[in-house]
Amino acid sequence: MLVKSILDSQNSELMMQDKMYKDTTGNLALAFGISSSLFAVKLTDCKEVVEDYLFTPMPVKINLLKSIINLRGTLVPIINKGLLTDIPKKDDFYEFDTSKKVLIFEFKNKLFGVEVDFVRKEFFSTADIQSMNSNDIHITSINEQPAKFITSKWILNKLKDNADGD
Amino acid sequence: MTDESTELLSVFIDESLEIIDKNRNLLKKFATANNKIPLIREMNRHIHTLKGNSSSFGYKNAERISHDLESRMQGIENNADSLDEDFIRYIENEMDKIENLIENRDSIDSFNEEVMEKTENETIRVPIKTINESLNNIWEIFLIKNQISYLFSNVQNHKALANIQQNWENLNTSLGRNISELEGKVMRMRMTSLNRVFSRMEKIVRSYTNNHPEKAIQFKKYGEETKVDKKVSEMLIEPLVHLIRNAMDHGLEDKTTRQSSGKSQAGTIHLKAQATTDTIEIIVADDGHGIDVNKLIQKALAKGLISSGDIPENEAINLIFKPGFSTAEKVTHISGRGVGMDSIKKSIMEMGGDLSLSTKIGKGTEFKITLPLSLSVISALLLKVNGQIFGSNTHNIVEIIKAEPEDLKYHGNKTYLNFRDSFIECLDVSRVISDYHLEKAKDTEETAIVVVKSPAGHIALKVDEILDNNDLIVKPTPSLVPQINFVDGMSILPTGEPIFIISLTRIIEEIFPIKGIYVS
Repeated sequence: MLVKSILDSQNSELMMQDKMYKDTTGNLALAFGISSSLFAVKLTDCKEVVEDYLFTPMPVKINLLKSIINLRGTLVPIINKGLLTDIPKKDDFYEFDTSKKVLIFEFKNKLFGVEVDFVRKEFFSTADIQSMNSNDIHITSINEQPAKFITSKWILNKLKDNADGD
Repeated sequence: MTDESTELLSVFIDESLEIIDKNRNLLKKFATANNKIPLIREMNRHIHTLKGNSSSFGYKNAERISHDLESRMQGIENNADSLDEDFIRYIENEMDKIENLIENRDSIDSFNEEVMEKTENETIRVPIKTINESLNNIWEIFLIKNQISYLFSNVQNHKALANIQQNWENLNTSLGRNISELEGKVMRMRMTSLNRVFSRMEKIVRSYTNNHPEKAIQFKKYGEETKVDKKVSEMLIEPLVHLIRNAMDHGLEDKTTRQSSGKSQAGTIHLKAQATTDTIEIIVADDGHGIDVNKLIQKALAKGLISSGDIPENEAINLIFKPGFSTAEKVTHISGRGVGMDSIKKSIMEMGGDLSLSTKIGKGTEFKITLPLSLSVISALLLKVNGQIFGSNTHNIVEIIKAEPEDLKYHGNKTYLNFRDSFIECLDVSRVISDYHLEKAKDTEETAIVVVKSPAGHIALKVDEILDNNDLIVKPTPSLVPQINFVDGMSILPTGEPIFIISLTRIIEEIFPIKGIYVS
């Protein structure tokens, strides 16, 4: 699919500065929204935010995998956002809205992306984390809104669990 | 296991297999060598290295066999005459055992699946000269990049605009040359000789003759130094194993039969490789009884694969490749894998190659595999289905047609294309590609059709649009993407758009019948 092919380089540079800042403070997260759900992820888990990307849909509908994008020559699978919201909507397969941002995650040299409705940088305090278990971590609020704090490993495990159940 | 230790393991496996090959070559020299002592000593050194390395990597069984072999070899170091044929056979068998253990990763710390999947950690040996030459290209590309930036700043500052076009053309030519040279060098780094594949076939023949005393087989190989892409050499193994086993089981007669028909007791299997400009030919030939074409016709008639026995001999021989020709019972007996000749042909065709055969009653049978030297860059046809662009290898494409309405005939729910004065079935590729309603196909009276050569014969495939021919670099699909039967890999178009590379022959399989790979 031919869409705009410019990666938001300013955004990437900003992210790099943030990462350096994160190393000294340890308290910087990315908050992102999918539908009405709010999520947060450590800045170190997220490689970059991409806008205006070139993609191709999966040739057959595969649960929870939506498309493949070209990230400067690397092919990166994009996960259906239904995986995170626990509402895998069939219609998601048909929405190819390239105006949305994609968060690129990395875990054990595997890159994958999640399409999000919005993304912004947030400070948080570890004291705010209310509960913590192997599945997910909750923080009290981001701007007084409850948010699920997740990791790239959590997303991959969830993808694996859902793929096994296909 | 860390990336570093995976790499070390890969080096160990490579080196061990190389040592085993060296020992096999030394064994061949024993027959003619006047002084066998230096050969025995050299072999001893190799076995000692094999033992030590096996121990380091936890290959206890390989270590034990090497240790026993080393002990027995030391016993004959000063008595070379005791190195008789039986002893040579013993060494060959022990080498085969060690090779099997190493190839099958028989180590005590049984490597996990993740490591096994890490093909990107496989190592290849590259001459330093090639690396240096590649670096020169990279440096030159770096300079070109700087020159482009300089040129761009000149444009922005409206300086020396008159020469911009000429300068740009020069840089573009220079960049193209460097990228092309670099690509050639890196592709050559992936090239490996067929030595190991051929040795493996030799081992299979040796093992077969050990278990079949009624048959004597000479194995002759030629051109094993021919270099092919590493991936091609790996993919060649299975079809070759099958063809060699076929030749031993069904091509060659037993000693008594051969003698009574005036032939030498020992039959011969020739395995030959030769490279042309962009393909490699592998020939598996035997001097056995050949294939009786009349019997093939009778069998095909009995199975209902053909309706009339009145077909020319050169076409009748190809009946062997028809799906359903080999009975499962017989095929299992031949190969032990339940794979028919149609499957072998199909797997070779999927690599972009072809399999043909010729035979002469009483004289023998020859199979010829033709393959591209490399699978990393393919000549691809770009086509559009359900608004999505795909690439497909052009190897099995016979013709591209813009069919007029009168070229198509409909019978029941089937469509047929009038192709070269006969009707072939026409299948709609959009039946297996998901429809995301991305872009409507252009409303035209003509139908875009690709005619494909498949094991089932010529099949017409209807697509939305045929775009272009392009050389594409094949990239593997990302590891998180599950395997899709008809997807061969991915590529990136000059526009930057990623595309899937699809196998049209497997698309045909998907339609006959459609398999349940969809989300419900």
